[in-house]
Amino acid sequence: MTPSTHIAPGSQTSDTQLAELVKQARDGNRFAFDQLIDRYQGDIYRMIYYRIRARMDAEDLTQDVFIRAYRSISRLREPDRFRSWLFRIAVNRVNDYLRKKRVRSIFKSSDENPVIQPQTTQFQEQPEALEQVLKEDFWRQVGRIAKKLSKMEHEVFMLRFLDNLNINEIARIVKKSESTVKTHLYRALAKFKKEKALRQFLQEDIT
Amino acid sequence: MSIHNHNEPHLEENDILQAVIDNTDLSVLQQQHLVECSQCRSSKQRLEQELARMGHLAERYAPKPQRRITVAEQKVRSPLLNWRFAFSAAAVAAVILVVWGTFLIRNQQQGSIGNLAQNMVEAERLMTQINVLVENALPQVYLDIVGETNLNLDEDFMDFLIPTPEDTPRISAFAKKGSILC
Repeated sequence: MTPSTHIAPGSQTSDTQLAELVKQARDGNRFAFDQLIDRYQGDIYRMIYYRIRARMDAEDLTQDVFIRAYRSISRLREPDRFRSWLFRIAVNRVNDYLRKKRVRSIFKSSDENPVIQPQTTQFQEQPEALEQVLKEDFWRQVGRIAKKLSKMEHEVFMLRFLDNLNINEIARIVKKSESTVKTHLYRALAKFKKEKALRQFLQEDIT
Repeated sequence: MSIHNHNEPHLEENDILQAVIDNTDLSVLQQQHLVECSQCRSSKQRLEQELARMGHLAERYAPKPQRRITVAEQKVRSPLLNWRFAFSAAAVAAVILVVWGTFLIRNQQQGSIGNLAQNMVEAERLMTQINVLVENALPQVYLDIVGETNLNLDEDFMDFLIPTPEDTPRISAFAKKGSILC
């Protein structure tokens, strides 16, 4: 077995180092896989949270994504595609979660199925009131635009502008050609431009 | 779309969108215009800033995870372990089958022995009844007529009641079907 590549937490990891870690993890090196978890768990957790807006469920799903990745990493042929491969697992898990949630909601009354709100716990420090209002307003605006986009437009829009993935990675995640991804992105952006309230919110924040 | 050269119009809105998605999808002339025209560059940058801001705010407004992700407890089962498990399960099933089969066969055998014993008991009871009849063949109704239930009937009295064929040749001959006495 090759000696483990060690990457200090919080440090920037080069593509070569990451590819090396993925190769080692693929060969069964647990330490290498743990480092990959440290590197990507934040990205995956946020990606899931943006879509389901429930902290505890997002944590569970993140855990599940990494367990699935660990079980099947030996089948990953190209180490440099680890990130998009991981995101693809996450997208599938989120879709499964939302599908099950929809099915469950059929059998629940409206009282038992409240609108998803970001979860806060009493143990957490309460953020400033203004920050809390801005936060709720932001997610409400994002939710509003999400409703105006088709499923694919929404997915590529989120992956590009919230998860900061490039077109090539998105194409691999959604299993479409780059030109198809761009077409969906174009339509999504055109709808985003018409969202005056969200754009004003963002512009105010910029200025 | 049309390109301005000093007096020509700016990039259109859809070109700006296309430039935000991928700058290289614009024609060379459009790309050149974007470099030279501060107004078009500014509208592209403004849109990019809004989108980047949206990404930053999403990250800022997402709660931090309170649990560290680990896959330590979830070990992958090797195929060898699966084989071992399957083999163990098969062995246990075989033992259960053998034990159960043994009990089943034993129960069946015990069942046949039980039937035999019951037959023997019935045969013995029948023999007892026969022996009682041999000792005293008179039915209870005749014993009641006699008036003594514990009557000890001797052999002579029984011979009187039920003579043997040797002692009653006439009766015996008379009993023969179609015989003529005189």
